Amino acid sequence: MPNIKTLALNESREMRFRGGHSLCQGCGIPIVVRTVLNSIDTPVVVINATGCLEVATTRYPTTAWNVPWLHVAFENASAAASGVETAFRALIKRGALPDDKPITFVTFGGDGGTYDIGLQSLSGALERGHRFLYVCYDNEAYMNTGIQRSSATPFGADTTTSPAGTVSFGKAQQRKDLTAIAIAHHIPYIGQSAISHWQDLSNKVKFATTNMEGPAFLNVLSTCQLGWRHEPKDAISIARLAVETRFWPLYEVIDGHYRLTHEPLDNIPIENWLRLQGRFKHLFKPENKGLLNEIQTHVDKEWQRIYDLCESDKPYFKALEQSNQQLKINPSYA
Amino acid sequence: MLDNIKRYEQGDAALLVKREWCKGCNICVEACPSDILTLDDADKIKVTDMSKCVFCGICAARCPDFCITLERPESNLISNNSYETYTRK
Repeated sequence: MPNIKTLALNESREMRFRGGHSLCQGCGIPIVVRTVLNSIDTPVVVINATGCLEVATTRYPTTAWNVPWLHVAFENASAAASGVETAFRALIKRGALPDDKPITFVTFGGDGGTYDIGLQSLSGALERGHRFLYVCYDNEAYMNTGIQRSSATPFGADTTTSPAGTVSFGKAQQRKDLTAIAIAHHIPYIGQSAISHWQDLSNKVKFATTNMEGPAFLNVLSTCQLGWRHEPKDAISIARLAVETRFWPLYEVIDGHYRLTHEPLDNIPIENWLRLQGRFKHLFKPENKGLLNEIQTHVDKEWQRIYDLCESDKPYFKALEQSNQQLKINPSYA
Repeated sequence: MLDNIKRYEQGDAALLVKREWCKGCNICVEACPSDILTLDDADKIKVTDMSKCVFCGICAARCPDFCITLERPESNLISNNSYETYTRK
């Protein structure tokens, strides 16, 4: 398994994605991209949905990418990936390309391009079973266009299209559970990870892309210091706190079986996470006390749902580990 | 690969810093277990005491701007002038 030193070494050996891009100070997205690309052994082709990542890394005439890279539009990143992947397999079938040199197709999309605009093409590609990895870097709003709410924005967050003030308390709806939507497609691998847990993310990418038999989907919590309104230096610790407060459970679903990959030890209230971010500042006014309770109740309910599913699948993974050595990719999972 | 890791642990490695890319977010300063990274007056990354570096690579894995890279001393990146090179020797 890649550990942090092999990741660091991979970066110098093969520069797939480099600096000099114009993403913001303290942005979480490059951390996602680097960990994902450095964890894949085969050559990669990257398909990029519109978003911060696409806009800030490919300002003409420069590019931060050192791999074949394709961008078409906001809504069709998965459709473009489907075409590229199918063309690759067709060329192998025709004998134009050798069949012993696999290529991994990776699609990056933000939460706007995945949860909202690209959902139909993602759903289609997952349903058709194309062999590609879709990585959604979820920073919980349309950060590129000026922090508008998306369906990934959590309840109560202050954005420019769900402003908090005297009438409104921020976004009035709960966030969409995209990971659950991906799971409903019954694809071989779905995972949820965060930038703070690089080993977890790296393991998931490695597992998803080794001997790929179908689509894999990863939902990775990123941060945005501009939209979340926190100090740039806190990017990692805030993402970690989202995991530790059980707002963002780290789990994976392999062939329909749930497995928790990180279990927070302490029961930290969600308030601790909300307090660090300017977008939730208004929730700490006395009149909004009820909203905090509502958020905590929702987080607890969602965590319990996933925890129960993972608990009931524990015997499955135990039996599998005893019978099949291949799945034992990481001893820390046991 | 394992050999390379062993060599890192023995200090046979170099920390390459490309200050020109640094945006001064302080993420590496927060992450460094040896507390040897800091920002200078121009808000760019600076290595203070290389003798304390354990070559853990956490700064290289965290930096959003790819300013920091771990390398073997013989790498051709080291002769590249755009990187500042730090070794323990």
